[in-house]
Amino acid sequence: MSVICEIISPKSDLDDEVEVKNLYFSNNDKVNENDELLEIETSKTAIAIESTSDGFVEFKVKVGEYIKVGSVVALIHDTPFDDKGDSSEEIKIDEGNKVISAAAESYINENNIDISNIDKKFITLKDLLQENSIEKPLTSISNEKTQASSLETVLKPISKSKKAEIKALSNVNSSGLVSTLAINVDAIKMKDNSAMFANTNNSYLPIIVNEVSKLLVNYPELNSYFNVDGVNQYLDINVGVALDIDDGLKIYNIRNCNNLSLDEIKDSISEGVYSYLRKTLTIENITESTFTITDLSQYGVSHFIPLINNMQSAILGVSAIDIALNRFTLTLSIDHRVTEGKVAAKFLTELSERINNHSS
Amino acid sequence: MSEQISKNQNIYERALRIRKTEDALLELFTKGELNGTIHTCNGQEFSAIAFKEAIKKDDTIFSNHRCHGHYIESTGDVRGLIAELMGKESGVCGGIGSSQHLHKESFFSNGIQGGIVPISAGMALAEKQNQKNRIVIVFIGDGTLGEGVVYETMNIASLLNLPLHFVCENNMYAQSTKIENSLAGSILKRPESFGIKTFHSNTWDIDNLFLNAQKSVEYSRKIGPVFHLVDTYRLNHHSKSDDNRDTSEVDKYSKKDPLNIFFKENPDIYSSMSIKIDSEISSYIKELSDEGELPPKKYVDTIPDSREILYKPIVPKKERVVNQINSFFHEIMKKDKNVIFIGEDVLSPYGGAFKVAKDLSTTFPNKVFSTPISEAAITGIANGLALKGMKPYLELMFGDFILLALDQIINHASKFHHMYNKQVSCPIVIRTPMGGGRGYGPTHSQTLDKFIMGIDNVTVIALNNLIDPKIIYKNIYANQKHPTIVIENKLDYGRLIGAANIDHYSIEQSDDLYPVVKCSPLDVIPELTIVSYGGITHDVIESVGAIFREIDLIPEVIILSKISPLDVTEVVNSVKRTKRIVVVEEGSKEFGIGSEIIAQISSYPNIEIKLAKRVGALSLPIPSSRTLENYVLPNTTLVKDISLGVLL
Repeated sequence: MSVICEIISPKSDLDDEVEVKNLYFSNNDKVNENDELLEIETSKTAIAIESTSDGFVEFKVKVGEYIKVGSVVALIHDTPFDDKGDSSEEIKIDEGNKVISAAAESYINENNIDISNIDKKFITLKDLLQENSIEKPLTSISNEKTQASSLETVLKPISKSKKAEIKALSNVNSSGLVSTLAINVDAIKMKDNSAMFANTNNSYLPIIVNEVSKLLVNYPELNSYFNVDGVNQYLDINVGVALDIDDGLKIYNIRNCNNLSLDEIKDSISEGVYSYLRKTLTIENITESTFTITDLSQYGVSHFIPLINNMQSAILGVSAIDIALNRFTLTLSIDHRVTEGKVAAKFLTELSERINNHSS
Repeated sequence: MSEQISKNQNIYERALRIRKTEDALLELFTKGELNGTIHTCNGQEFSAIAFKEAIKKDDTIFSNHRCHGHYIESTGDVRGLIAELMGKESGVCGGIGSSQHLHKESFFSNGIQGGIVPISAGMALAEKQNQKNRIVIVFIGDGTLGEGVVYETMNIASLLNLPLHFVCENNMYAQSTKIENSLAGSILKRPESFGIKTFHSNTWDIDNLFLNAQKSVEYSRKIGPVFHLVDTYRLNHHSKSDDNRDTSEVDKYSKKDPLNIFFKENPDIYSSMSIKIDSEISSYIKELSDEGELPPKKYVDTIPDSREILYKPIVPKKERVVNQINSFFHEIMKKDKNVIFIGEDVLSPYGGAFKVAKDLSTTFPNKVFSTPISEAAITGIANGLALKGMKPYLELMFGDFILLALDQIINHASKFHHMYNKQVSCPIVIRTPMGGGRGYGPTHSQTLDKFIMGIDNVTVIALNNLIDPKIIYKNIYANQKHPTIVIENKLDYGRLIGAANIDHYSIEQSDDLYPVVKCSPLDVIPELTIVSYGGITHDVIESVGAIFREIDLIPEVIILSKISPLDVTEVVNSVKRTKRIVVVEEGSKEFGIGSEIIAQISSYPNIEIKLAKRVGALSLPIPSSRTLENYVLPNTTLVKDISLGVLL
């Protein structure tokens, strides 16, 4: 048994919906091509719809029903069909007539939640989270595998160093309480100064590291980390410079940076890059930094939001110089549990001034 | 009429009164006592007098920017004119209209070239309907022959054989441009080609002018439309300090001027007339100089007090929108003989492009006028009918065509009430369908509502398929005093009235004349206010469930029927609870109704708005192909558009 053809209500010039006035046959009646099967009424006139084939008719509409133009009104089968009345009706999961948002629905499915006890007509994600007294984390590292996509994929295993990176970045950033501020620094003024980093594009990095380390003395909150009981402030200022050339992200630590001169800082960064490339960085080189500077200026980015490292409360991002505007952007992400936007804003303003007024 | 009119002192006194009044006005202007401008008719006065002599008391005169002579002849009201130009409260229009915008009794003037012509035709149609044997005279200048609506009206006046009498005062200049440089061909062949009877006179041969005026007026009263060309010459500047003509040319006509000749030949008569008129005018000016201007509170309308709005559930009707509108007209035209239905292709059996006029012309044969394709003229005709107390309902076949009628809507219909200091109202109803979704392409699918919003004194109502249009039209009929534009929707015509149930929502309508519909979630506080109106209402209501599903916020929907002037009270009440608003319109998003609604609610005190977004069409021509049309219009993508608006 198969369907030979679909009978479709004709498009009307005026109407979206038409009324079914008459059915001239019953389901499973034998019909012939060009038999008038049913009558519909548009705003202008009544129209008879004919069968386009011989066969056995199955109506998809009822008398008095309003149907969309262009919808299927009947099927013609080659043999009598199994008439189970309303079997064609969509089977709906009985959810006690609740209306559920898509976000709530996926939460229900992921967490196997029984919603029959929720006495609400509209169920939103907010309702469910309140119901379960849990806050929804913005991101989470879960041991559980996420639901598989229905699309075809190829699995690429995550490297150990990437896993370590995810862990190091998850701690602070997954709190959801990270805020990021930005400031533009005038590059013309910088050019007046001689203290450039000689051999790479990120010429201003030593100046920035130098000024940050000096300024951090006045901003202990930005040289700290959050723990459950309070905020731990570091006594040393160890500025980490994020290096990511082609061997994964490493934070090269310039210890007691605030006590170093600009030239010493320049040398230290050069040494770090050299060691990174020769894979001779020691554990000591890449641990125990208290503040991080990440420099993506060589990649031409105009602005980005850096992620705060584990056991720190702030990170500074350095973007590329906008040639047209002769300026570049510094972005500072802060752990709002430790400090606040006003402090960060003040820090950025002062830093920008210091960089502009820098003299070697 | 005596052949010896040129011997009649009375006409010279009348002409001198006009000339001296205008001289006095120019002097007041020089002294800085007139706020505005004037256009004098010095040298053209006898045209006004000749036609005044020919017409009857209740005939109508519609004049233009150079109207002082026509006004003084028509009303005899020199004081009212001077007061008007001096901006005084006792001016004929309270000082609002000034020189170009006058109305008293059956005299009207307006300052838009050509725009007054179809209005005069509409008045003539009203007079014809009333069968009182009255005519309408419309004065234009040769410069006005450059306006297209003049010819649209000639065509219609001839087709309907209206008692419309054109007087074209040809002073040979369109402001500063010589007629040779602004007019091609022949003036008289223009009306002749429309089958309009023509007459030709001039203001130098007074006897012939007066005789011809009698003949042409008689013709228009007894037979049909007339075009009377009167050659003349303006001896003053177009306005002030803008005369670039050769002085020798002006001198030539000044010497030829019959008034100048008469007084040169009769210095004693001149002297006595002059003393009399001068003292008349100076006493008016003296009297008026102490008088005040119209206070602002008399100019603005009072805003009605707010009231408690009651809601009742919407009961779906098994009736289609188009049938209900058609049924309204059958009912109202049976009841009220002043209702006139005008439009293009509205005669049965065709009954209009969307069948709203079905069977009207066969049931009410003298009340339905199917017109040529002349949107500007037929809108003007509707204005003229309304000014004469008829109730015209004008159908513009596609909303896109309303742009051709905007001059009549904005510069005429909307203005008359206030600029004539509330002496008249112009209750026209313009119905027109907007909206896409049918693949009609860039010029037959637009939603141009934003262009007709915020026009003073014009009410704009957009129908939706939730409210029975018959109720809306009945309320317009019963309450309308001023121009009303009703935006219908092509897709809604075939739709049934009312809405399907939405789970856990109530759908109610307010008891306003033009009801607000509120679609509110039951037993919970809504979290997002969606405001919409017009044809896209159908799509918004159908999408409520899907919108909730996508955005995880419980929406409340407010549908407005009256969109200009805008009453956002109910929107404010909703947003105070939800703190979030998305306005959905089918027109292009920027600079639209959404922008205005958000601006208006933002100015309410104590309102906190966390999110305000607009959803509308892209600012691109609406393509015909289905995929592109759906891409440009918001109707099929609004769930996504709203979700992105809320979530991003």
